[in-house]
Amino acid sequence: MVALIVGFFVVIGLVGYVVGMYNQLVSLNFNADKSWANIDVLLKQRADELPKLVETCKGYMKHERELLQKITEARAAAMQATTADGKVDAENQLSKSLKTLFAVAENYPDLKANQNFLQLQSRISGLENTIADRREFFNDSVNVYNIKIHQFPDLFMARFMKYGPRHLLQIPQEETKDVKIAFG
Amino acid sequence: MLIDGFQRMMNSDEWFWPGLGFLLGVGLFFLGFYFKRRKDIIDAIPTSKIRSLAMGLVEIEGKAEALVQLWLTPISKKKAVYCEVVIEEKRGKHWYDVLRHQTKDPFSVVDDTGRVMVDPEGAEFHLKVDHEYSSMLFGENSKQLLAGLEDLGVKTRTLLGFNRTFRCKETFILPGDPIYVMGTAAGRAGGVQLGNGGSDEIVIRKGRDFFCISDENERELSESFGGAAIMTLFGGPVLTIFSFSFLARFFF
Repeated sequence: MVALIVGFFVVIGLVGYVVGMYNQLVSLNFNADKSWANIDVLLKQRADELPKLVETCKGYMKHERELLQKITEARAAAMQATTADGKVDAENQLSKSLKTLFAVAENYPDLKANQNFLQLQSRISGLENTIADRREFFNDSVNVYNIKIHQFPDLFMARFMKYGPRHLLQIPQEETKDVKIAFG
Repeated sequence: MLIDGFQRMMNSDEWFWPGLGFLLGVGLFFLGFYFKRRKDIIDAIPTSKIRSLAMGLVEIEGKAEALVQLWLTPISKKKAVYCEVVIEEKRGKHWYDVLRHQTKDPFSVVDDTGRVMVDPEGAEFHLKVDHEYSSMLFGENSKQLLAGLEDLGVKTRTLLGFNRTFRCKETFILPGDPIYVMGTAAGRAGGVQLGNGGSDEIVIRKGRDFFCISDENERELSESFGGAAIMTLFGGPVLTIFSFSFLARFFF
């Protein structure tokens, strides 16, 4: 009779453990997907602000047409990107162009005094910070997932579920260098 | 055999505690899965920065700040963001509630990126008890305890002049205390403006998922739940088997 009770607990315990392991891996996988989608939400918001920024700057920065055109093209490329890597590259290019624009705007006092420009600059800078936070969060989510699928005994369940490792968001080397500003 | 066994058991006085232990053991075992699930949720969700909170289940760490008002704790007289007080009096052999109160006002959590409102209604609080007081029937009792009880209008002496026996627990969160919150971030309609640099449109509150407020950090809380899971998952079956050893004689 004691053996029956012990057997009951062992079986229930094992079933509970396996179900818990499965559910945990599913949660981690979906959490990583959600954190990726949450970056997209902010990238869309930033993309929506850009046409207004370009229009505001056009009237003041008559000699920076090339830069403004670059931003417009980078925005279009980011919205048309289909693969994850392509999207990341396009968004990084856009961020780089925006940094250059805000640095160049320092030479146009009339533009800097424009309330519209200041609000847009503040909003986009805020979004850039939040996007950076959400990228870090995505990497944390992926890291937790990757660790879990490689740990024993979860790795057996991960193989059974065909869950492979996910890639972290990498910032290319050239993006971490200071932006060189060319005037004229 | 089973029916005879149950009849013998019912006719005896000695089945109650082993029977209770048997059922409690099974209950503790299943409670272990609940604690394990809590630990898994805490481990699965990375900590968010407040300025970039997304809607849904989130985990934040920061410092508590008052949003509506500060509460004065009745015995220790500290100004707290959140306060839970239990005062009981011993009459005869039993303890009776004199006061049981928990504040429900929303408060803010601040980290180095911003602040966000937390509505603690429905939260599981995992806080260390900050102060425990007890009074004695004879002898000199704590002046702080007596003063606090008298401020609440509680008589501390009997008609014959003897001390009443009280015990009191205070648990509170002071402004600036480190705090951990896991809850559901949702849009906030109206409410108090938080000022600059904050997630003004978001409140963390109870949703469909786990909602927890603690003065322990993530690692400590995860270890607490992990420890509780191990104790109940192994302790439950041990209690059941031990209790069964007393019940078995009715059946064999």
